[in-house]
Amino acid sequence: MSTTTTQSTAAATARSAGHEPDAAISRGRVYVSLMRDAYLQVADNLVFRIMLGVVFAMVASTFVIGFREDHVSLLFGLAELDYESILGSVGWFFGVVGSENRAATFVEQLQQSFANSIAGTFGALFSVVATSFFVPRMLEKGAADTLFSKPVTRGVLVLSRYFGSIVFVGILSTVLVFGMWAGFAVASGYTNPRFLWAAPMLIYQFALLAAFSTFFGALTRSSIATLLLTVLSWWGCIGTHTVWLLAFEYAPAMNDIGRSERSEGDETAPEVGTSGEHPLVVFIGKAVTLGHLVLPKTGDAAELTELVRKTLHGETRTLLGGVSMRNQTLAIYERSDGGIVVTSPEGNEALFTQGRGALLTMEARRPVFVRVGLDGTIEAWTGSPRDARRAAEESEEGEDGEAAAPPTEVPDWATPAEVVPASDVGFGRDDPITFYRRRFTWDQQELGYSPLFSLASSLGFSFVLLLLATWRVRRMDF
Amino acid sequence: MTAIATRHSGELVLDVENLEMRYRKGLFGRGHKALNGISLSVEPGSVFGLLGPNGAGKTSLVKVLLGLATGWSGRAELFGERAGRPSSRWQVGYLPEAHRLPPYLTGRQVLELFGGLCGRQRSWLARRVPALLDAVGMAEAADRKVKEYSKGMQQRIGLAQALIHEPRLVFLDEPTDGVDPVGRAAIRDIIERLKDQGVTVFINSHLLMEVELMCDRIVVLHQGRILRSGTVDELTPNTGVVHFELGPHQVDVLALARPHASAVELEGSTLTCTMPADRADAVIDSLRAARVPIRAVRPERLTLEASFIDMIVAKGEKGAR
Repeated sequence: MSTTTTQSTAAATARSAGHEPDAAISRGRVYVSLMRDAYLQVADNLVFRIMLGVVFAMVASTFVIGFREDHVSLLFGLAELDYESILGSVGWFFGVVGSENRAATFVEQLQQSFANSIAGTFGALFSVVATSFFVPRMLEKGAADTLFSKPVTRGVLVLSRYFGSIVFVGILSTVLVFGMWAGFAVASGYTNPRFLWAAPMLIYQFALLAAFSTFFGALTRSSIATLLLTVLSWWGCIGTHTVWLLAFEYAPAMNDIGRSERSEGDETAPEVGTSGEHPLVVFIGKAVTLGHLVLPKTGDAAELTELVRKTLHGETRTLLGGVSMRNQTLAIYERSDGGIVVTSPEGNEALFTQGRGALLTMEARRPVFVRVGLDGTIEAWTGSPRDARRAAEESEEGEDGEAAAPPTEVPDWATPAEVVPASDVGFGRDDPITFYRRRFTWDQQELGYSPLFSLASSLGFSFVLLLLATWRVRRMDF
Repeated sequence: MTAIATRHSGELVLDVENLEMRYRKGLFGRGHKALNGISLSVEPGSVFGLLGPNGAGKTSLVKVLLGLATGWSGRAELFGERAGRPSSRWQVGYLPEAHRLPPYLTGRQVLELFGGLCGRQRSWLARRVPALLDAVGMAEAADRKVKEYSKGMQQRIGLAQALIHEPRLVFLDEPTDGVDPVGRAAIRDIIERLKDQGVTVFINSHLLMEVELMCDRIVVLHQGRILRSGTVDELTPNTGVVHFELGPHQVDVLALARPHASAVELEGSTLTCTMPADRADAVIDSLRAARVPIRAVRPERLTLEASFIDMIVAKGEKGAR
C-alpha cells in the first residue's frame, strides 16, 4: 500500500515537525476572537438592541431636559415647566418642594432612583435576559461540535462566555452612566461625580448574576431554564439576606432596645419581632445566617460601591467609641480626613474638623465635652444644664457682650462621663437600611456585616459556580 | 492493528490502539459501548472513507479523536499528541454532520471566528478567507448572515471553516449533504486538491458512490470494530464477469470464447464472458488469433455499495450463526 502524495508547500513541510503551532499562530488571537464572537452574538440579540435603544433614550433625555433652580427647561428652552406643576403632590418625594436647591436635589434624586431601581433592578434583569442564552446556545448539538473541535479548552470557552457577557454589560452600563452624567452636566450644570460610581456597581452586581447564569446554562443547556433559575437564585439571595437582616438581626436588636427602655420605666416601647427560643426557630436562624454568609450578596453592591467611593474621597469613618449619656449613647467617629463626627441615636450628626487633641463641645440635652486623644482614646465630661447656663452667663458678663469662644479646657463644673468601647456602642432605633449601613464598615469584625467578607464570599461563590460550570462542560459528550 | 501506510515518512497523522469507548448514561451510569478495540495507524496524504452502518462507531471514533467524547480507554493520538488535548487539534479540521454555525454571523465572520480560534492572525486571515470563500463558491454570499443561508450554502461555509487554518488532517462528516450537483463536484475538487497537498482526509458518508469517487482508501466499521480496510480496489472485487468491446468481425466469437468461460453472451459488439479475471488473457489471445479487433476489455467489479452491503450482511449472518 503506498501512494505518491507529497506535501506541496514548504510551509506545510515545516509544520509537519509536530503538533506545535507555527509562527503565524497566536494564542492571544483566540481570546480576541472569542470576545468578538460574544460581541456579535449580543449585538444580534433583540433584547440587547431594545436595551441599547432605552439607554440612548435615557441619555438623550438628560441632554434635552435641563433642571434649573425654579423650573425645568425642555429642548433647550422651547418649553419651561415649574416643579410644582410637574410633580404636584409627589414633589415631596423628590425633595424639591420647599428645598433650597431644587435642581441639584431633583437631579440627585433622579440619579439615585436610576442607580438603585432602574439600572440596579430592571437593568440587571434585562442584562440577564440578554445574556442567559450564551452558554446554552454554545452547548447546542451541532454548534458545540464545531466549536469544541477547535484547539481551545472547554474551560476557556465557558469563561469566555462569562467574561464576554460582563464586558458588554459593562460597556452598556458605562455608556449609560457616563452619558447621563454628561447630559446632566451639560443641560443642568450638575456634575456630582458620585453618580459615576453607579457603573462599577452595576458591573459588580451583574458579574455575580452572570456566574449563576453560566452555571445554570452549563447544567441545563436550556436558555429558558437558565433565565428562570438565574432570576430565582437572585431573588433567593436577596430573600435570604433580607430575612437574615430583618428577622435574625434587626428585630432582636430592636427588642433589646425595647427591653432596655422598658427597664427604665418606658412601658410604651413596642416590641418588634421575636428572637425565638423554639429549636426550629433556632435551626432556621442558623440556616438563614449560613445562607447569608455563603450566598453572593447582590444587595451589597450599592453599599460596597458607596464605601469604596467614600474611602477614595476620604469620607469613610471609623467608630472610635461612644459616650454614655444616661439613656442614650453618642457615637464618636473619626473620618479618614481627620475630622471627628459625633452622632446621636436619633441620627443627628455634628462634624468637628479640629480632629484629635481638641476639646469638642456639644450642646445636647446636657452639655457634653469630648476629647479624642492623639492615641485615639476618648475622654468625655458632662454636667447639668443649670451649671452650663450659669457658666455661659458669667462668660458673657466677663466678655462685655462679645460672643463666647468655645472652651479649650474642660470646665471645672463638668464631671467625667462614661466612655463606651466601640464594640459596645448601640445605635438605637434605626430603620433596617440604616441599621445595616451603620455596621457595614471596613473595620467590621462580624462577618455578616463585613464589606470585605461580603466581597470575598460573593466572588468566591461565583468562582465556585464557574468551576462547577467548567467541570460540567468538560464531562459532556457531543 | 490495521496499519494503513500511505507514505513512509515515519510520522503518524493518527495512531489508535485498542480504543474502547462507552457513552455515559446519566451522571455516573454506563451506557452503550460505541467503540470496541479499534486499532488504526495512518500516515499522511490520503483520502479515507469511513464507512459503516448506523451505530457502527464512525462518528464516535471521530469524536474521541477530536475530544468531543470522553469515557474512552486505549491509546489515541493525533500527530503524536494524546487525542482530546486542545494542542492535538491545532492541525485538525472538522465538519460535523448536521452542524450549526453561529446564525448571527456572516459567512465571512464565521471563517474569521474559527480561524481566530485556531490562533490565526487577522492579516493571515485577510488573505486566506477570500480565497477559501471563492473555493467553496461562497464569495458572493459571504456577507450575508448564516441564518439566511440555504442548507447547501451552510454546508459550503461549514466545509470552509474546517479548512480555514490549513489543517493537515480533516474529518468531513457527510460533506456533500444538501449540496447541489455543481457544489458536490466543487467539493470533490477541493478534496482532490487537499490530497495533492498531502492533507489526510477522512470522509464519513452514506453516499457510497461519492465515497468511491473521492476516496482511495476505505475503513469499514461494524459494531465498534474495524471490519475491513484497504484501497477501493481491494474492497470492490471482480464479479467474475469480463466485457470485451469488439470491432467488426466475421467469425463466431462465442465459439472462440466458450472454452475459457463458463458462460458467454454476445450483445451487439459486446462480448460478455463469465470467468475468473485471470482467464481474460486466454480469451484475448483466441480473439486476436482469429483477427477479431478488440477495442476495450472491462473486468466487471462490484460497486462499493454492493461490496459494503455484502460485507455487512455476511457479518450479520456470521454473527447470527
